[in-house]
Amino acid sequence: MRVIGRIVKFAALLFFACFLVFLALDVLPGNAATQTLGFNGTTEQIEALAHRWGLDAPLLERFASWAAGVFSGDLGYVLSTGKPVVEALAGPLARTAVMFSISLGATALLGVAFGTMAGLASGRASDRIISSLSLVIRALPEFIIAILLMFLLATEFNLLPAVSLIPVGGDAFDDPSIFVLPIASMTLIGTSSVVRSARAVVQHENQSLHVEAARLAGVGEARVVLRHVLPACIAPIAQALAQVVPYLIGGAVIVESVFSFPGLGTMLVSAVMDREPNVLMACALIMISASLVAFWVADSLGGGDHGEEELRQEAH
Amino acid sequence: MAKKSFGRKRISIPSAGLAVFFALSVLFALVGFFIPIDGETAGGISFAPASADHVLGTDNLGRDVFARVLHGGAQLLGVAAVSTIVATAVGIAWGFAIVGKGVLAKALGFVVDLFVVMPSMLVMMVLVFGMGSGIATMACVTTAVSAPFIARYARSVALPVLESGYVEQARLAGDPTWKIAVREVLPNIALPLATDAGLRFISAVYLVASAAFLGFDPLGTSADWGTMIEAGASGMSLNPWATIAPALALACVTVSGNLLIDRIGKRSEL
Repeated sequence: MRVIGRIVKFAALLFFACFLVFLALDVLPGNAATQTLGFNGTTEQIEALAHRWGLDAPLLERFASWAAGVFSGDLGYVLSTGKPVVEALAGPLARTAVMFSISLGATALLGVAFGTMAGLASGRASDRIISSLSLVIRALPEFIIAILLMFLLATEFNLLPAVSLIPVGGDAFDDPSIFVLPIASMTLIGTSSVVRSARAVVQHENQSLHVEAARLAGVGEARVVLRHVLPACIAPIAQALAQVVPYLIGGAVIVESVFSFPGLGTMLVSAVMDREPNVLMACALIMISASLVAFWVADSLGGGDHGEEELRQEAH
Repeated sequence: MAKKSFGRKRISIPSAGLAVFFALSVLFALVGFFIPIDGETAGGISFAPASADHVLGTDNLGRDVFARVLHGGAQLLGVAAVSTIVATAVGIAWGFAIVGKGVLAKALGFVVDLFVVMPSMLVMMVLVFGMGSGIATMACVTTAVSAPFIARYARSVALPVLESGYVEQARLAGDPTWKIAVREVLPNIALPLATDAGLRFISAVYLVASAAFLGFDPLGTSADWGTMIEAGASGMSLNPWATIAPALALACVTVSGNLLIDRIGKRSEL
């Protein structure tokens, strides 16, 4: 029963969130027709174009036809070019997916490694260095982290491209170096959050009775950590990782625009600028679904309000 | 989770030092009001490196970076502060509204969940394009983005108080619900809510600065730190200070503010 209730709530949240985005684009001044024709279009031309694109239909009718399309796997067309949205979206989505997954993987790896190191050394110098550093990094706005990395690695030392340009006539994956700075920024942002959660969990577990008993029984330190401390930490750390996902999705939009990375985030920004309803809705659908799934995973891993405290700290 | 993380942790930087540093960072943003140097007129070539005339060089339009950094913080922090007050008030009221089990409380709770999953950048873009720049817009953006989280938090800290004896007593005495909320519950959760509001202020600074950085012109002027960082980025190899100086000024506020709130948060939980 509980699972069914959750699925219903998931679907309802996704539906209403999409409707809210649709509504939001609609109340903005201008539409795809005015943005395409710009100042050159006469009122008649704009109205004719809007009519051809079906923009003059009532809001609910347009939303219903979009939603019906989603269920049959049709995300509609990019109005100004006539290309199917799926086609226009494939490239940016693939690039963001690669960038995001590598960042999340690196975040998991570094977050757990440094969090464990700090948690085991609780109160000692290494803990204080790791904890303060992660707190400082977490306190920096995403775009400042990205700008500082750009300054150090691209401008000062010229190691990497400052702007993520796709090679002419090629694919983004032909030049992996354009991925490095966005991934590094995202990893720093994510790791600084996960380290704190992981540290707290490991430190708590490290002081528990069964770990103390194992130590007193003469079990080697490495074995104590791997067999007794870490297993109990897996669920809460996984929860912390799930909680960082929605936060990273928001960060990705900013990081992508700092490096002009041709991904989903920059596509979202230009879809709002151009008032392209189908493109915007496709981007929003993907981002909202990903956030919902992450929240769901976090919820089912923890006892509910266990993560509330962290959530409060992460979200901005 | 943070609750468990402090046993007998030694404090490395004294809290008072942090508070002074934070106060200085904020004061730095206000200095511009009292200093008559002008950051708006072009007085040199674009992206000139630091020199005796221009301590931190010039920006993309040849304006003095140092003067602009002095002037670029007050409005940013002011807008963030006003936005935080609005968002916190809305969030707390919202949090109290979703405490109950009635239909309205459930519906408002659903709206909280709805807003939590909305991508914050999308909310910001829509409101900025729809309403134009200005304090009112940024207050709306901050409220839309952070009030749901404040509401969740307010609800979670209010719940245990609502089950306490004195609330029960007030209820039996026939006090109306709003009176119980204001007289009995609010004073008891003021400290955690104030700490949360501090974090929200830092988040609002992020949000306004990010909006400025992305070119949404949230304040209607190009003279804030966020816009300066963006404008300076193109000339980073010529005069890095045009970007780094406003970034440092902003970082001083957010980092010391965050560290301070972290400290206060741990204290109040002890």
